[in-house]
Amino acid sequence: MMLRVEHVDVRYGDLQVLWDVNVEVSEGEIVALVGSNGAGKSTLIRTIAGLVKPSDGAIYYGDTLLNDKPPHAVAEFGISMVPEGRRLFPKMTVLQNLEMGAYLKKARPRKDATLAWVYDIFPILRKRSGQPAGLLSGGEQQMLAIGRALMGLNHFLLLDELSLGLSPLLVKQIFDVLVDINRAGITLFIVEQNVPMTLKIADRAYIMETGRIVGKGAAREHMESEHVKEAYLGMS
Amino acid sequence: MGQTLVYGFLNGALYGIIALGIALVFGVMRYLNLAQGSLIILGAYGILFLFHIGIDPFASMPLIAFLLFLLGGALFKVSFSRLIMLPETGRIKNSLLISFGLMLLIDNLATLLWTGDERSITPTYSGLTLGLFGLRFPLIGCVGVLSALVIIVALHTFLARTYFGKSIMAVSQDYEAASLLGVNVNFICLVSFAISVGLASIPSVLIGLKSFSPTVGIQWFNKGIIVVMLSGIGNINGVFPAGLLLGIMEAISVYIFGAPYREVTGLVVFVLVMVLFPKGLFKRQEL
Repeated sequence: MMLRVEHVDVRYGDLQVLWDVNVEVSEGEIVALVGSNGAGKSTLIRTIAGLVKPSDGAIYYGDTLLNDKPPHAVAEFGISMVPEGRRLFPKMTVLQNLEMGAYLKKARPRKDATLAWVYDIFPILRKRSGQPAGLLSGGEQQMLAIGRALMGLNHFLLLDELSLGLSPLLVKQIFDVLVDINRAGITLFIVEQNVPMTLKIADRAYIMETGRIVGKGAAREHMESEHVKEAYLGMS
Repeated sequence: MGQTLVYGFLNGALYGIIALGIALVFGVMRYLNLAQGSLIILGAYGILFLFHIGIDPFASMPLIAFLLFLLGGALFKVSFSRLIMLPETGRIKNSLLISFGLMLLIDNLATLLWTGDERSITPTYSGLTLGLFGLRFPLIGCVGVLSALVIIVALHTFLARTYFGKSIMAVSQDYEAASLLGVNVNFICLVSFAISVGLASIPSVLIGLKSFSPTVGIQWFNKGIIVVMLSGIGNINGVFPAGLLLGIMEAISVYIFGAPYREVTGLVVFVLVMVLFPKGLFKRQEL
């Protein structure tokens, strides 16, 4: 098991937002965490990345306990994250953003080779390399955010709400790329509101409602389940 | 007139270099360090002490820079590091409170140690001037401008070329995103703060060679903060030209209205720029 989230509770002050959450991700998988807006999905992914501290429970990456590790240490242990809202460095150029992505010590010496790889995945970034990231379109920004995370050469990628604000066509393009990235040996943990698209590419999925995991299993099974069809796929 | 402009230019360079330290910390962390002026004066006392035991002020500058760098790091660790967690407005307000206390502490400590008398460092060359185009250029002022330029170019190169410098810029634009890429935000902030306090050593020498007393720090801080606002918040490259502009404006006003109105000029320019160009004069279009 690559990532284990065991009985995790998260509180913001007096307000408890996650209740006894258990999630497991094995090497090479695409695992999705789906649910409606405000269910606590982003909180869970931010907790794994070290941006939020769990009040109870444990998060293991391999054998390492991540609970009290700051975000930069989590990145050093091997987990990269594409945050919600892309969070690029707007005044830096595309190339500078990608170079910042290779900040980790293990990634720096291989920066040039990784850059060529990322440019192959997203050719548009090569064309835009000299432009400030803040001037890119939404889709290009999302590609840059993924490319920047890939530059760290970590084998585990957390993806938070990639589809937000993008056209269906762009979402499909980006999800196709995710499958390619996964085939290159990178494990993906995806948090998404776009349930049908996510279930199509995921191996397994967890469903979260009001801070609790209410369902888990193979993505295919979820697509068949009556509850999921009704609540998330708009079918009845 | 020409001679007035020369003095304005040299003063402006000093304002620019004072503002550099303030702008770096404000740009990266959104901390407003009110005590920067007092730290400059503290450095001036250090240089005065070394001068009395026979060391030239410019020669002691690197040592004072290093000591101020260490002091800055310690101050950050003890009092400012916790604010990083707060949202932007919280950081501005709390850093103002802390640095105000720090300013009172340093000023009173200096009064206790060295009395409130006005001091001045007076090496043999302090009155020398260079004649050029029929104008007089004070030697010390010229060395000040040169050292300011060298430091600014060095700082710019450091920020733009090294991984450490780039991560300072990244933290200033989005510290959370930077931390997700493996940047130790606390450490970057510690070093940036220490550098900004270390930068105080240059104005320490230049002001030390004029005259200073324990409580004038805040007046120099005022010049610095006006320049930071003129330049545009977070725009480190605009700080030096903005400093020159303020110096020259002051000089022109002295020429026209007389010396008593000099202090008013900066504030009037400040208000006008805030009304007409709220993002600063040298700030590129916000992305």
